[in-house]
Amino acid sequence: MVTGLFKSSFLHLAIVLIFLYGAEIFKRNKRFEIVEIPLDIVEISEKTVTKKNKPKPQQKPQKEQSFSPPEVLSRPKTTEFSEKEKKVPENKKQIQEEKVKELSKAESILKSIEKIKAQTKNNNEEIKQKDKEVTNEKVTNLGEKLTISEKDAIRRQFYSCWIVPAGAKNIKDYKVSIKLRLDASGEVTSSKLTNSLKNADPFYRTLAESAVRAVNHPDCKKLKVPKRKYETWKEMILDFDPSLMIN
Amino acid sequence: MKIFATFFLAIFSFYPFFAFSELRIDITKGNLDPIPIAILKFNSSKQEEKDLSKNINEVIKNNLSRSGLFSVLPSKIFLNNKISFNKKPEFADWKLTTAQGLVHGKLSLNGNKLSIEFRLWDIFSQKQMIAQQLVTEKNNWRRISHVISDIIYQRITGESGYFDSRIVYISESGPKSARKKRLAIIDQDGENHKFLTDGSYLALTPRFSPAAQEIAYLSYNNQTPRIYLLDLETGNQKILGDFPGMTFSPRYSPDGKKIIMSLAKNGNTDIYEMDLKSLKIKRLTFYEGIDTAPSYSPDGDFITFESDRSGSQKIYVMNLKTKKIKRISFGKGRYATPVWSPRGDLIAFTKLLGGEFYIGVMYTDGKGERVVYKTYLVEGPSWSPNGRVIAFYSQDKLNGGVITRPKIKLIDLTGINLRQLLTPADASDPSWSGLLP
Repeated sequence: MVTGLFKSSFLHLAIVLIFLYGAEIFKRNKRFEIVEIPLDIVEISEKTVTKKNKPKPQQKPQKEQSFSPPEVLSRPKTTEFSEKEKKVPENKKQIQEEKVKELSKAESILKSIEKIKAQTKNNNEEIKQKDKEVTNEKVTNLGEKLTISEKDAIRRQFYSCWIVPAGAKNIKDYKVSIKLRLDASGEVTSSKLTNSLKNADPFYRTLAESAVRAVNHPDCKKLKVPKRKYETWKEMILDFDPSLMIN
Repeated sequence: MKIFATFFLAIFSFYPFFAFSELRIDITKGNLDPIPIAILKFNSSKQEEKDLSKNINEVIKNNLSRSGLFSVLPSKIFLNNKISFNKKPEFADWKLTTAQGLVHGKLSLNGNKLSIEFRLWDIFSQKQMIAQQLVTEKNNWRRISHVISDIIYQRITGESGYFDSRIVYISESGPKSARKKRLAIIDQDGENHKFLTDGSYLALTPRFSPAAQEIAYLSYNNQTPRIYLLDLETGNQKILGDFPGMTFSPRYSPDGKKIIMSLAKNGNTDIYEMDLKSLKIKRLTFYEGIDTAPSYSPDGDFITFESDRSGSQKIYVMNLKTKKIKRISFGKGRYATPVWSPRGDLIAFTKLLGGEFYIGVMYTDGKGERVVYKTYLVEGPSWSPNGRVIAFYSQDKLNGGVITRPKIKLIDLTGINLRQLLTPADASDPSWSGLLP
């Protein structure tokens, strides 16, 4: 009797372990095993390529400034603004303006990179704080449903993120479901297709990949959800259904 | 035993509670914007390689942006224009460009041998979608560019591409009284134009064989329609036969072993099938009226054709095994020249309604009819090898009543993306090849 019980619990434990860990291992990166040539991934340091590039655009205007204009013996005092305008001939002015534009573009992109990095650094702290807020609010009513307008807000958010593969064959017959886990701030922490893409019809796969891209889209990474109902939306399933869009 | 039964009963009785507690939201609306994609020049070292890399990059970018499904991002906005082939891209940086896909690779020349290795990344999912190596002769750089474009297109859209294909058409020149009609061929992107006949005789309605690099076209021998078969590989041409009462060239079966055509005999036009090996002809329709413009389904089990058996020109489908015929078009107007999509799901057709011509598509059961283009005159729809784009020729009527010259146009299934194929002279009767072997 004891031996039987021991055997049974060992067997059950093994099955539970396989479900918990095994399935994930087997599914790992199966989607992209089409690789025909080996991929050597070199670990990249914290310093990004953008940082190396950062000083480059700044050097260019300095070179421009190194041209020595003819020395002026005397000139009337003017405001800095008008002085600069007078100094630069039309052609140079245009070139400089373009460079300034390029610079400002590059700078804005670099700034946003830094912003993102700063955000990711602070992210954990924010999440912890928000978690605290949520727990402090103590309004996490289990089973409290989202209202229609709250659901619509989430739908609206995905309209701009989801590029529907219109024109693909029989696309209207497919529906893709993605399970999301969200943190207390509404940010998607994990997403997973509910159906496997293994041996999937290529058009289903196209639709599934478009939905995954939508979920990972920066504009949809953080969902507009009512924070007090965290317990309701901390896990959700999104059903991407293109049938209403396509005749 | 009882304990186990109670345990499982308890688990299953709670299961519905867990199942219904999940929040589900249906996303039924997205957008139809083209997918933003970044395509980098392939890494190279020598000047000759760099020139090739630049040319190949241009061809790939043009192909993908012309398809209407991709928005190729300008390299100006990239933070990094070169990625080491064996390094993972900096996804955070690429996300800022809004690109959802990224293509990069390396190119090398070894004598006359051109080798390209490239990768396609999904930026948002941070996954490699495909990586391939392609080797060819240096002179073949344009084709390798088309092949790479096809691979990218297929991996992202799920259906095969159409960039490595050609279009045969009739080039027209000269006054109406002495119109010169020559057979010509051109890459789908308007490059590599070539005349196939010298214009000393009339060439009409060419049809590409889906299985081989062969073209069937119609000409006249002392007022009698004659069908020629032209082998594009060898340039050899042979006469298939004289076919009195033929108005359109025959169309090939999907395996290229048979052709289907309409012939007028004793004032009655019916559909006939011919075996290209035995040259035996079999009559398929027996109606006292006009059955014409037949086209095979991609599996070869069905044909679609136009007929006036219901009183006006409509589209019909025939099961070649059971010989059962079913009418599929029921809308207003005259339906003509139905062509079965190589994808098998749609039939393209022309329609005359209210003095205007339409190019439309419908499902093979006649449902879901929709117009993709309309103008003063449209004729001769022909599908791209992936069934995603339709080539046709058209003439527009301008405000002053002036009719424009005939030109070939390409339109996406959605009817949004319309392009004109640039040809050196007037152009009509396009026929799209399959993907090149």
